Amino acid sequence: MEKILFKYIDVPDQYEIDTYIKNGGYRALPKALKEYSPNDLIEMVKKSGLRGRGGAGFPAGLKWGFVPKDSPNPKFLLCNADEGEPGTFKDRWLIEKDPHQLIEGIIISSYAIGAHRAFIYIRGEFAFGAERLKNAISEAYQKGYLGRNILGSGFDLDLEVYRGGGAYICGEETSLMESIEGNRGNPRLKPPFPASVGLYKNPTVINNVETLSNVPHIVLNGALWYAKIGMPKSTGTKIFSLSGHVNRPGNYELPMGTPLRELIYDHGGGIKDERELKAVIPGGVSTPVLTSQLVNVKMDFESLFEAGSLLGSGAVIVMDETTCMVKVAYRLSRFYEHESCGKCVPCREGTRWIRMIMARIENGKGREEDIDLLLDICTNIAGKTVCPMGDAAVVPIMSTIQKFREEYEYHIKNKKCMVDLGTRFV
Amino acid sequence: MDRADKTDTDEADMVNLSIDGKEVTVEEGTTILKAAQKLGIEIPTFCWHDKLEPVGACRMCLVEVEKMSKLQIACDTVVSEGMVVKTNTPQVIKARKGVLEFLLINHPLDCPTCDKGGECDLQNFVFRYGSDKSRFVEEKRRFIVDPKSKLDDLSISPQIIRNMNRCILCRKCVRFINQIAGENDLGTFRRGAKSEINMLPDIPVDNPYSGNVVEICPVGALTSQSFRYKIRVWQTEKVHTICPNCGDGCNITLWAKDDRVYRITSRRNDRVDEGFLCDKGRFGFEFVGLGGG
Repeated sequence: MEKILFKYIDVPDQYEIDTYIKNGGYRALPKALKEYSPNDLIEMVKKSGLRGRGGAGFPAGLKWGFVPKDSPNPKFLLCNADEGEPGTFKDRWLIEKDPHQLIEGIIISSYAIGAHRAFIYIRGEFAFGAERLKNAISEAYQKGYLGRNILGSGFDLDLEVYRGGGAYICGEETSLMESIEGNRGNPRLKPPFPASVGLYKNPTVINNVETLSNVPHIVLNGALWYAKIGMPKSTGTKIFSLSGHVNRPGNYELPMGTPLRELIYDHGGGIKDERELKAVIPGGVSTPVLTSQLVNVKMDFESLFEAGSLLGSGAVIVMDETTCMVKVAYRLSRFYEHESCGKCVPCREGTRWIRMIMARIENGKGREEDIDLLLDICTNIAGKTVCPMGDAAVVPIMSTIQKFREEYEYHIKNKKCMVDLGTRFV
Repeated sequence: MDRADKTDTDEADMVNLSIDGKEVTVEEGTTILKAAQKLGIEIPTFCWHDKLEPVGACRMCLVEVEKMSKLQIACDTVVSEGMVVKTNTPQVIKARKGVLEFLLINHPLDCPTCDKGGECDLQNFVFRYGSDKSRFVEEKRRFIVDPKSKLDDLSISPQIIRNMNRCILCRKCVRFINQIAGENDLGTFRRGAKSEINMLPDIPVDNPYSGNVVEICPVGALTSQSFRYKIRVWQTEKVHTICPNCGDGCNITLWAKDDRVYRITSRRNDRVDEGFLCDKGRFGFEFVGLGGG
């Protein structure tokens, strides 16, 4: 199948505007500005079935449609490039290797929602990507794709790169806005939703890098073309960031609905050292772990939901038979404790408590009652926090206990891992 | 015109809802918490203060709302027509217990020596809604101010002492200084379980309204230098009076025993003082009882 977003990803200087244009770039933009009204574009994206690639999978066209048309306030488009979900590294490629594809998507999307200011909020660690974007943006200004009266259409847009300070929570859309405004990266209460009260209290749309990068292709080839790719309700391609115990880790752009088996064995070259597959986290660490029995699951929003997990950001973390699931859960509990913003009680105190209990179990000081205690702490966090981070933080704990409870019990009873870790961890 | 002076026949649209089976009619835009207060139903809160923007940080006011899958915070959920709210279901009780447990696991439980004892929201709510057993066997978190000292007190102004170990991070103090006093003397530093309330580095809180943060602190994290360790609140006699310092005439309460005044707090009267006092009125009482001309 032909790649869409990654078609020119291996062209060495694709990040330069001339190469991008030579390879068919900036053709969707004049088409969008001249042939379509903003409303046409919103309808087109709705029809294409494009869903948000940041994790939640919210239909992009619907999100754009929520922006009040009669509002006298300025509107903003924010590109969420705070790619922080552990295991995810797809946006990084799109930014570093093909930044103009993203910029073209941002310009078209801004036109569709009526925004004249757009920001790319990029995580602090992506220093190189931020540099690439800044250069690409100034190239786009020079060619008249950004600034006043873009391509003679009368449409104005200014685009800026805003670098984050390195906090996972700033990938959450309301924290992201707080961060741009210069405040602590803490989530806001919803409602009101960003579409009506967002950045500086103005209507705001926040889309992921991959989502926006799809937009030029939809404009060029049409909504129906896009809707035919992938699955009926999860259209298009998805970039899967494959990592863990596979022979060929990396980013793979495949149609939605590609079986997990195909991703791991055909594209990823199978499990390292011919070992057995044990478990997969299919969509970043905030999605429930799958056991190896589910290796035939299709990788799309619906199929993974039915399988008891989520597509999330498409970060596929593969774990082989030498993986101790208690150790995995402990490692992830440290991540969530470190990244909790501290605003609301259950997440702030709960993630720390969970990490302490996990550390005890991991270090052979677990008690029999700790497993039920962990589950109860998880239920006291889930659904009770300001933002979805609380729900995310309990996922690795709950799903590993649910599916690998015997490993926890073994760890507590025998003060060591149930699995043979092989030689790598000794 | 004051909002409270409006009658029900005014132009505002009214909304009918039920809370714990009791019907109530309130103005459109009212929060569940306010509607419950109208009915005399207590929904416990830590971070809510009706003069401050809601932050929904403490999660203590979670209630059940019919047709909503998750529990909702009463302090920031606006009522709608026909809404059915329940504040006493097993789910709500469990959520409250959970929040209180989270707040207590790292709390020093030093109530016997804490000035807030007897008027502490955390103490009161744990008595009412909490558990009497702890499931926390780990070492408690401690914010160390001075490694050589056993005390964790930090003087953040000539009038205010901070004890971060008692703090529940409701941020009422930060928000008061910010939203009401209009300054930035206090802030939240670091993040997650390491978050702390503090003055700016080496810049003590210097604000004519700073004493209010001691009064609105729901726990013993911020205490006043002049009142500390002097007396227990329940041993004092409360005398309602008017502040004599200026023509504003803020309504105040003197906390006194044996003709000695120990502290002054606000006796909120929204038409006069909005429930806040200036530091002159709050702390300027040492002359009382000294006699003289």
